[in-house]
Amino acid sequence: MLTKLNDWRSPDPNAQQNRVPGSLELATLKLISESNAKVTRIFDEEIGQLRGTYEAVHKRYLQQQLELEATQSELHRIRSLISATEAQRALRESEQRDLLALMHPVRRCPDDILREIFECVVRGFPNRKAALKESFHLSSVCRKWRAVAISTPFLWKRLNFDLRRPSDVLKHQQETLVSRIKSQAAEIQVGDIDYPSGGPLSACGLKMFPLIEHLMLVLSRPEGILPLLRPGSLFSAGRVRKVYIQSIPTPGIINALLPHPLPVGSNLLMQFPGLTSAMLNGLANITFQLTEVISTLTDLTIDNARQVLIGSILTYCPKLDSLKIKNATIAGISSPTPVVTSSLRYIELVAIEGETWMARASLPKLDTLVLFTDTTPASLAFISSHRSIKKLFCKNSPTDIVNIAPQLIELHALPPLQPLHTPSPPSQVALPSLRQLFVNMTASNHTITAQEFDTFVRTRCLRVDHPENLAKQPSHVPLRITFALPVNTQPQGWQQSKLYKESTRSEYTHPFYSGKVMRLTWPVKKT
Amino acid sequence: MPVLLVTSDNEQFRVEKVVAQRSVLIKNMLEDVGESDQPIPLPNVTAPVLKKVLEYCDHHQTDPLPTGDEPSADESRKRTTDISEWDQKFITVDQEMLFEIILAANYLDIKPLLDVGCKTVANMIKGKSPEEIRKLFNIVNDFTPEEEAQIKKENEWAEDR
Repeated sequence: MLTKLNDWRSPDPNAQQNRVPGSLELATLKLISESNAKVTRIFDEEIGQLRGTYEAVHKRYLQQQLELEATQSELHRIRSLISATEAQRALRESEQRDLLALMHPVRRCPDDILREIFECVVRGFPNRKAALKESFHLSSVCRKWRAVAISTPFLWKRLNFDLRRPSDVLKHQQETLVSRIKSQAAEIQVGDIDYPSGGPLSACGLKMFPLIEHLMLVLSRPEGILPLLRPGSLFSAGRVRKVYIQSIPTPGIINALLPHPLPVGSNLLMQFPGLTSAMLNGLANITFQLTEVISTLTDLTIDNARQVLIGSILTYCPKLDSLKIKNATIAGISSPTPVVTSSLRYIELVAIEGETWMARASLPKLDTLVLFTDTTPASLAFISSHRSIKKLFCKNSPTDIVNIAPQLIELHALPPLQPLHTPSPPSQVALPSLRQLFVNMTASNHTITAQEFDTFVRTRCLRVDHPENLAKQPSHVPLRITFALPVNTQPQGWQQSKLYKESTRSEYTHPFYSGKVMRLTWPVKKT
Repeated sequence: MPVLLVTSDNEQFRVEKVVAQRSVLIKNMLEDVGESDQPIPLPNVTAPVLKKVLEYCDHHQTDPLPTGDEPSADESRKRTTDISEWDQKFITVDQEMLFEIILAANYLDIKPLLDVGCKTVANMIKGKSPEEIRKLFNIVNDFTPEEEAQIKKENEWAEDR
């Protein structure tokens, strides 16, 4: 209706013309005006209602805001209380910690008991690095423990110098440890000696240690030996007892500096005057030869060398007791008369070549001969000519031994056992002094029959009063028999025998065998 | 003949002489006073600790007694870090009692028991960092800054690279 009117009056009849509406128009306008007044009243009512609602909600809002403020204030108060309580708790906790620390019985431990405990801690670590680390930890706990640890030389006597560390660090280590070791004998390992690394080695100040019981020098390649061969002794007399020089090649380092065999011997050992034991391992391209008397050396081991001049060793080591040569060629002895060494009691030869020396050496005190190598006529002649040998390890059956070494008391041999229980001539006992027999059956092709085992045990191992014993001579002394068997082997036929099952078996490790060996004994069983 | 022992808290323990003599201190005291029924005062040991120590002595009463003139045997006993199964079970006590046993063994001069105690504490320490050891025994780090600096310097060669 209004639209229509607008259309009719358009654009603005009242604004632009001072017109007088007609009666019909006036009636219409009146109707419109009444309608407007009615709608206005309705709006007024609605606004009144809305204002009332607003007031109520606003009042509620104000109330809630007041409550929120009060709650926030309460929260803040509680938070402050928590902080204060926490601070008090921390204080009490700290007090409690101090009290517990004060009351802890470890505080009442006298120094000597603490020292005993520290020594027990370090004793449990066979590895030098780990032992030193443990000692360092003990000395870093508190002032009292540090004082006890520092005044306990045992904690510091096993040490390790790593030449990859800077020289000033090595020097600090040496100075610190020398003052802590006092007069204790040290066990020192120097690692990663390289050529030409004289500098870092001298930074270790090994000369400053009053006594070195074991000195282990680990070379990163065989050429690392060169700094050790420089003129002038590395040590004063008697400062080093045992030296162990080992070459452990570092991956990636090419062994190019020793194209020809390097003569090593007196030039090395004289660096350690007073040395009693030396072990050289992995130097490979060296010729070992002594040219001067090493009067204190009692043990010498050379493992992996191009050539060993054994004649020089026997000549220049008057107190040598034990000699082990492995993975090397042994040169013959050129001397016109046999070389006599009356101190040597133990020889061990492993994977060696050259045995002409055997005919030119006389070792009247040789007690133990270990041949981890195939026996030859020369070595059998050597065994035969040395009646002082009481213990023999060889890769032969007793057949080869019974007639050339009747004095043996311990024999490690391959099967068969028959020559020991069926001697020739039958009236005699083979190896009558033998008390220990180790039967080496570590190779699968070495075995014995059940009958052979049975006869051997009845002849040689049972006591004379055992009903199964076959050796009835009153002088019979039972032999202890031990078997070295392949690892994880299935029981063999002889292990089903009645005597085997009756035996008491004990397993143990023996230095000559990689696996465990098994000793058999038979309980006393009188008739 | 039984021996009467009196602890610091005035408790009396009547034990067989062979058991009491595991303690070198008591053995010497008995030898000094001869045959006597006089009680032996042990002012440094409380009743609960003595009870525990006597349990050890009773179990080990037939063991050979360590003698002062056998340093090698003493050394070899110390050198082994193993503790027998019974001793291990016996020494499974709280820290307070463990150290009390050690102190009592030291006072009463019972070397094998002292060894068991020291080895047990050593086993607790082994492989732990200084901070872990402090936590274990409620020890306060009381190093001065200078000492801390010295320890840091030693760390350069003592710890693994």
